[in-house]
Amino acid sequence: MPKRTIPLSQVTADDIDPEVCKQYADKWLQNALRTDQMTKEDFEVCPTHVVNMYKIADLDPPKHITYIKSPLALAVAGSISACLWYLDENYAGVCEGRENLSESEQIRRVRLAVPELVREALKCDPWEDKQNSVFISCMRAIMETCPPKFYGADEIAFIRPLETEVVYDSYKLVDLAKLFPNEPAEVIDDLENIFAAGFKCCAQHYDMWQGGNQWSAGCSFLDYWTEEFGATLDGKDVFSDFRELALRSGARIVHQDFVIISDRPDRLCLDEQYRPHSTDGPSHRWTDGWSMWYIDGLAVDEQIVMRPETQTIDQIDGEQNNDIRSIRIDRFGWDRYLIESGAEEIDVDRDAVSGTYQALYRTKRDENRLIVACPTARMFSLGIPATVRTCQEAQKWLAGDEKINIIGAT
Amino acid sequence: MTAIAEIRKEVEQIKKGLNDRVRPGQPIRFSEASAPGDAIRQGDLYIVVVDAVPQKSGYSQVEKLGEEHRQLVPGNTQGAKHALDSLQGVEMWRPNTWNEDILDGPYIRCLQERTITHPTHGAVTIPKGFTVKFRYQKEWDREQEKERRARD
Repeated sequence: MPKRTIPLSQVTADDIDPEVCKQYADKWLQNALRTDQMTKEDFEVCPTHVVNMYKIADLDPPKHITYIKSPLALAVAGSISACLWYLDENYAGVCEGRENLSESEQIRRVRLAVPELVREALKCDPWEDKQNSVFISCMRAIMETCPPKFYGADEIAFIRPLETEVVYDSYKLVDLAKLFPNEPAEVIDDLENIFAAGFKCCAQHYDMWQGGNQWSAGCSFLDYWTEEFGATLDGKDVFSDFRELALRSGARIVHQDFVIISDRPDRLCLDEQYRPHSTDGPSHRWTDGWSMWYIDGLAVDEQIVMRPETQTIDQIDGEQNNDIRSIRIDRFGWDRYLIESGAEEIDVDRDAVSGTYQALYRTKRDENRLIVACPTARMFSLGIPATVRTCQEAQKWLAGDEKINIIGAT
Repeated sequence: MTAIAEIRKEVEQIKKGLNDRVRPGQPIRFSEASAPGDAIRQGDLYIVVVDAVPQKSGYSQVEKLGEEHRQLVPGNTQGAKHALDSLQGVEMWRPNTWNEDILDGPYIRCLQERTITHPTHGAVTIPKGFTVKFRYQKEWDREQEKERRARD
């Protein structure tokens, strides 16, 4: 029963108590930041809520429901499983001219392609699956949710271990002909087409995505209106099962034939502005090892966080994003950065707008760097041509050499 | 004390709100007395007052403004999120080429007061009746030996 009896259409701003709103906001903020793992009860109860959601949408229940540890594994496994459901009905639509190919040969070719496809899809994320943990997790979920003709039960034990580095170049798509030297060109063609279909599904995975506890922001509003004022959609309660899933689990992939549900992270570090931030480990980590590295809300990498002293001047100066370059130098050390750049001070003055010091350095690579203090309380090192001789000229050059009168900066 | 040490010290003061001229997230408004050529720097975006929109090639007036036109800098990074608070009372002329390599951004005429927001920089308010152009800060790319748009 809703707590208030006012019909929704008659609610005015006076009926909305900010204190009550805050309670909902706090509840869902805590839910978004949870790092505890799903419990036995969560695993038992979630399928019921999933089936109820399908019922509300007038759909048959999904054929398979399974769990996975991280959103990365979820995105890859869900996409490739969806691709297999499509291939089940449309093999010849994906691999042209194969109308008369036997089903057993179709299955063989799909099974050749899938593990390599998973590995390639995982390479799209900068995090490296060194332990093969996300890969194994993806394969298990695919086997549990794809059409049963492709994989029998318990086949996970037979997945090939990671191949040599020669074959798996991080920057290039795997060479299928090299990987399967004994397969004829026709099979390699099919594998390439299956790869293309699989990548297309991966690129569109968000169409099947529901955020679970990651969508707590939206849930807070729906929870408020349903709990306080009894909001429904055409008289139907469409939110209760969605809410339960958001409170009990992480993101999920929702497909006509299957659902895969992921767990919450086991590490989540934020700064006081709720931006992802950690300087002593990953800012996000899930139990299969997938991690993300953020400082001040900006995506960086493991080296910048854990081994900043191993950066090179090329890496730092080659960084295209000024904020991230600033973080790189902060962690490397500004003094060391200037020494190793062979920087020689050629001008120092005060910025006309902020009144703060700025300095122009000539480096041993025949370029200048202007070091400035930003109003966001960060130091920047900006590339300036070697022909510029003073800080004022450098500021003018940065602005496009136009005659403008800067009256403020923020 | 070296220049770097001075700058570092001043950054600390800005962080603590002790600099009397700049504060993190500090909003700024163009005064009604602003003249053409006056500019405010919102991070790597220069907002420059102009007399009128020049009739120059390479620019077209946006016939139907949509949500995507609120973003004033091409790109998907946080630094590209310089955005108009609303498109109400805004007329816009955009460069015909709209990609991350351009250095000149759109012109807008504000028929009512509008504010440009950003996730980390302070908001900049443009009074009613002003026409402004947007210019992107550039940077020297040693590897490419050419200038390019600065990005954050």
